[in-house]
Amino acid sequence: MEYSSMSERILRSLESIIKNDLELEDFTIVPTEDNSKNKSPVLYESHHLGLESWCVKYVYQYICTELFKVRKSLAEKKLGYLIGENLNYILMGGLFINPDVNTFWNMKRELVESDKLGYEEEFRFSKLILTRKHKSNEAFAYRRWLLKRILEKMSKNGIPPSIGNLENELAVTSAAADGSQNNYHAWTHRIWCMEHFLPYFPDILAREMHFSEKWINEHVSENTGYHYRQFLINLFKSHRQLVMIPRYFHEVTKRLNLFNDDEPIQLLIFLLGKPPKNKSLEDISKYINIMIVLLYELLAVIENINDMFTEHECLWLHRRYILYNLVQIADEYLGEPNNTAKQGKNASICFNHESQSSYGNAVTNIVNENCEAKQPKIFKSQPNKFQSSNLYCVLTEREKEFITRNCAGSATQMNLARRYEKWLKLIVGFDLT
Amino acid sequence: MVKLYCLSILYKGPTTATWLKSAVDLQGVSFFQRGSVHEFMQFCCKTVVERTIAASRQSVKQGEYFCHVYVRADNLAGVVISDHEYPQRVSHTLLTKVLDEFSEKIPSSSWPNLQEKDVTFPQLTSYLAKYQNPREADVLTKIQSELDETQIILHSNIQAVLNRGEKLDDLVAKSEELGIQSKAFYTTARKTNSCCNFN
Repeated sequence: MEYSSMSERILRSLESIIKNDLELEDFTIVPTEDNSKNKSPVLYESHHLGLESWCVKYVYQYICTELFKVRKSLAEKKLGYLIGENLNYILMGGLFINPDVNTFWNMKRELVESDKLGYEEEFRFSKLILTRKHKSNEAFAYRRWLLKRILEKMSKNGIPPSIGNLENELAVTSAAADGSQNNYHAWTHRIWCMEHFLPYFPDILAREMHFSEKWINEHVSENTGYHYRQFLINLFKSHRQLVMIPRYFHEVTKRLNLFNDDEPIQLLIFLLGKPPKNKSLEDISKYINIMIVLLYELLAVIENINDMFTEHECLWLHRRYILYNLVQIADEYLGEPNNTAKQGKNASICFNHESQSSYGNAVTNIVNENCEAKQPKIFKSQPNKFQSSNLYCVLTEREKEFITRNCAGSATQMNLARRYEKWLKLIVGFDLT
Repeated sequence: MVKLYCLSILYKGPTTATWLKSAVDLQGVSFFQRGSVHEFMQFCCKTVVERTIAASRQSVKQGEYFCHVYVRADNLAGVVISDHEYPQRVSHTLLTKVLDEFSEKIPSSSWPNLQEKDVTFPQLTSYLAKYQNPREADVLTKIQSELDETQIILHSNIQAVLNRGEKLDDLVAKSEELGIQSKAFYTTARKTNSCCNFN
């Protein structure tokens, strides 16, 4: 082939840079018209690596012919030792140019399985790929595959995984999420990591809450960030042993103008009354945790963002999520499964089947009517425990004030506020008059 | 992302605009493309200033970017390039403040013949850094809605700012300020607008 020796040289020089520079920061393909200067297309400067785009079509052609020659024998593990050793640099080149080719990633997996590639080096390489293509699902999947192997190996030997692995992943995903907007691949990967590592490092949750608060403050219109935060909040619901974050508690009491800032349980009693006798201590501390997290979100996080950045629908949707969960947690605490709030979108979350079927018809009817006309009277006729609690008073006051304040803004903001008001009245059943 | 990319001061002469000073923050751009992106931002600033009449403000939305322009009655012009999340009001407040300070430091008689390298106005870089966080910036200036009475004209894309019959592609192709590499960057960047894709 005409360009094979040139391609070979380019791939070898990429390989040697990656092998020797452990602090390599990123890789990119630099668009150029053609090879006018007759010099190497590999750019390397202060830990940044680049490849000029004119050479891509020749090099990629070479890579494909070379790789597909050995594809079959590699899969059947019949490849000669020497060829196996000498495959990685071509694979790296191929994935640099086109990270979407799953076949190349699979060939890498086969090399890892036969111990020809090390974990460290592969983590480093896939991180480099993600600096060029932040949304490469294949690269994230490859990392998960590597992590799974590590986790399995460790659990077999009875060793807990190291926090270094997790921290590395968190750094990689946050860089990728900053790099491209709406990078769901990165956040999915982060969620996967949290699910797998949280049992070993429960303290990490408080840190993640802090991180995600900062992140949504810097990316106010990105649903991905709010989605991740909602995932974290849900963790508070399911994990009982998680420790409360004191800063949140102080902020909440401050914003509610309460002075009993020594005993979190007092806050719960003030808002929802004395705990029912059938609840265990563990249960109660779970309620305290989740209440504080949700109230902090409602009173501090959303307020802060809304003061500065208006006209972003995701923030309003996030508020809906928080409010809906507050109502649901309150109902659960008060032992009242038949509350109006279950008519919301997430109605399937937590209540038993019996109550669902007996009220099922009423629920669907109401929801259908909601789309057409206002039918709030049905809720008013049945006041419940939640509606006579202090929490309900506090929330309705806050929501009324929040809506009025935002109606004074621009037309878009007013529209969003009105829509939220309607949702509160008709779906959640708040009395805002 | 709430971010400011570029803050520049230009002088709008009778036929063309000249740069007096500019500051950029290209941390998020890959190393080998910073030069091209910088050139391209400067090109945009100039293009937009030349098409804004004196004593007016414009905000142009182009994809995920916002470009805010303020040309004063004395033809001193300021441009901010930010992303779409950065609050518009803060951008325009920043422009007013920077231009006021600039005209205090450097006499207006010298503007038409100044060259960028002769201007010493290091405050611009520190403003760009400080205003990255609009919250802190607002506390600093204490200006909530003190913008002057000038109406801000809002455009939904850069095409709306250009004169009749002009096209951005043609302007880029004709431009003398953009190097070959920046032009190649422009054509490839147009093809791969990754924010809206799943991949």
